[in-house]
Amino acid sequence: MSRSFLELAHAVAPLLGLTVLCLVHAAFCRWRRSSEGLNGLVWAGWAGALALAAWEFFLWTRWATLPGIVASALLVDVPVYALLAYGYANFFNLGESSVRVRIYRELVQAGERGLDRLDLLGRYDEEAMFRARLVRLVAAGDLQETDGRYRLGQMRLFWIARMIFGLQRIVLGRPQ
Amino acid sequence: MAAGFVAHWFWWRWRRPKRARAVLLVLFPLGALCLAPAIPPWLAALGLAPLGWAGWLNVALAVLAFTLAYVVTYSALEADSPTLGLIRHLAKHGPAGLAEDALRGFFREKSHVSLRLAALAEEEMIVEKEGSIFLAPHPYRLFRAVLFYRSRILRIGEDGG
Repeated sequence: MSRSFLELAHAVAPLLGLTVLCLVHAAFCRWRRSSEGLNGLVWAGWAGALALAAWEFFLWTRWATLPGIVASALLVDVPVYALLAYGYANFFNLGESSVRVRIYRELVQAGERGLDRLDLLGRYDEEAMFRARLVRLVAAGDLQETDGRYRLGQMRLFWIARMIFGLQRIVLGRPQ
Repeated sequence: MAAGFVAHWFWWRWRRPKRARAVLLVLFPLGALCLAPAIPPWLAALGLAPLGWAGWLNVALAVLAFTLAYVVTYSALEADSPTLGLIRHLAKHGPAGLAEDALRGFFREKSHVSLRLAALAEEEMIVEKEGSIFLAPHPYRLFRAVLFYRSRILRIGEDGG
């Protein structure tokens, strides 16, 4: 294999990880016939990371030195893969729980007639929205329910919430 | 990246652009492009080898990954996420947690749909005429991509909302 090919293979290593992530996630969703919230994404994220590690190992056996490959993996490939995976997770989640995407879909279906504001608001039963979130969060392990009380389960969404609300304060100057 | 973020911070504090996501998609790569000429002398000063074409490809990929990750994060940043709001509210109550009614009460303090409609109108993505709501002329690339990916690639139902 030529040096140029190996250099290219190294440069696009995070894209390989992202491709594996997308394929595993699509297979998971098609197999389970639902997204099952974050769980499918977490498995797919690990599969992509594993593919990235295997690719780095392959490159090390063919071309790179061990310190070189470890440094580039830690400084570039892993952070870039993490960013791509994070972007993918957010992109997927827009379709999963975004009210704005659903409003868009409703308006596309309504076509040129548009939708009566009250009719649109009526389609969104806030109780149904609340229940849908509760069911989704409990199923994914993000909330735990015991004796009718809800507590945080896995902390992953808590950290995402902290980051999002922190950025809101910094970028938009929105009070907490 | 940092330069792009600082420019973004000042710009947004001064006046938030209407097509914020489109502006961000241009702002970060443009910031990186402006500062790219500083990389070779900086590497030389550190005694490191200059970047080859593969190295520059790596840099471009890193900029692209950061930009895309930030733009999708920004969507969540702009609109208060009901899900993340619930999580944060529950976290404030610690291990004691909250009863379902209390959680419901918190969730229903805001009309999430009205807030989203107001945000879409502000971004000029929808127009309201005589009590009816219509889609405004807008490419809607992100929304279309999300729905296409869900239905054609993942083949999952129309959850959302």
